Amino acid sequence: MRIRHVVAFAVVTVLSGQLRISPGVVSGQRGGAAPPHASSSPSADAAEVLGLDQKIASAVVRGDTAFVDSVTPSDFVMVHGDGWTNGGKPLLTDTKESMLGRVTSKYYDVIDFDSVKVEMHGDVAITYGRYLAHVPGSAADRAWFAVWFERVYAKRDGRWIYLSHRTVHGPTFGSDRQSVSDK
Amino acid sequence: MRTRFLAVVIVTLAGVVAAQSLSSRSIFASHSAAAPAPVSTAAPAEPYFAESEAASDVLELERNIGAAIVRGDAAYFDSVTSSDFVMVHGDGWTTGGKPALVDDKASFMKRIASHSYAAHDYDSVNVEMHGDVAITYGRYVGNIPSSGPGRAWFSVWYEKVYAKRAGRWLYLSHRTVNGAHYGLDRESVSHR
Repeated sequence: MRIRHVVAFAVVTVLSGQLRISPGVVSGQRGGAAPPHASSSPSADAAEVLGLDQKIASAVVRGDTAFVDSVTPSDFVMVHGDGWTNGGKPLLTDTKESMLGRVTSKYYDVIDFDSVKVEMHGDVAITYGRYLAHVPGSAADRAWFAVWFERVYAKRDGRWIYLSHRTVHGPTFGSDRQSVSDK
Repeated sequence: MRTRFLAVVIVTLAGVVAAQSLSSRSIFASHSAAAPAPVSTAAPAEPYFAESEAASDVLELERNIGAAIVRGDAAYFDSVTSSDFVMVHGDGWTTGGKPALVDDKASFMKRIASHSYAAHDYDSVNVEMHGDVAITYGRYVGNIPSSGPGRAWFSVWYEKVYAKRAGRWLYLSHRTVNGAHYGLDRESVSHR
């Protein structure tokens, strides 16, 4: 009986550990959109970084400028639109200041990550995946959009800092969440 | 007369030195200036001038790695890449699919040692600096003769990440963000 309990505890522990490092579950969103194909590092750092994209996005949605400020460096860059992936110009490039302005004004009311994976390099981490977002006040057919991205983080003074976002595909616009959920 | 001759010589030498200085600065700061960019129509190669010494160092490293790949210098590549180096070939991952291929450090060094690449020429390269982390993005035109007709030449748009560790820049990651686009010759892929 005692052995059975120990085995059951071990199974639960192992499974919960796997869930913690599973990109879809850590992001808390629909991980079924794109099947994971890269193994995640089982390290605590990898698990922490995997959760950061959604944690920061949640702060953006609730207008928590102080938190977003605390996890981004002064030279933060956010490149919107995949035009740069063929030598063209991006739709828009945010600096830290302009990005924080969007946070303060609650520009987004939905940012939901899925399919996020991480590539670890010690004190540098690269995340890649997708998010669905909604910008209130946009034209009806552009209110929702999907974005595939590559982000870079660095661990400085014991904390992971969000350095850079580059859209690698999209945004793909639609009138509702469903219309962009397979983009 | 002698004085006038000396003045002409001095002015001439000064001009030569100034020209050389400008030329070397451009080469140091920009991939586009360092390696002749293929003629491009869809995606013109725009010269990029590094805004800092660190940015110049990163661009120079990227150029040096490209040259080492072509000359089969696996030792150089080994010395400037991290042990957890990752190279993601193909842009399938940018829409949630599988990449064409994923190299680790060991597998890519084998490609170098076997002289797989006959050309690896960068253009349109830019750098985004974040202190001890650098992100480069741009394009290169490559040639792998063993790939056979129709696939031997290709162009790739990419994002790469470097980190400065113990005073040296190390190459951590390559991800193809558009491509590879294949063709019969350099010209056929130089505008992709």
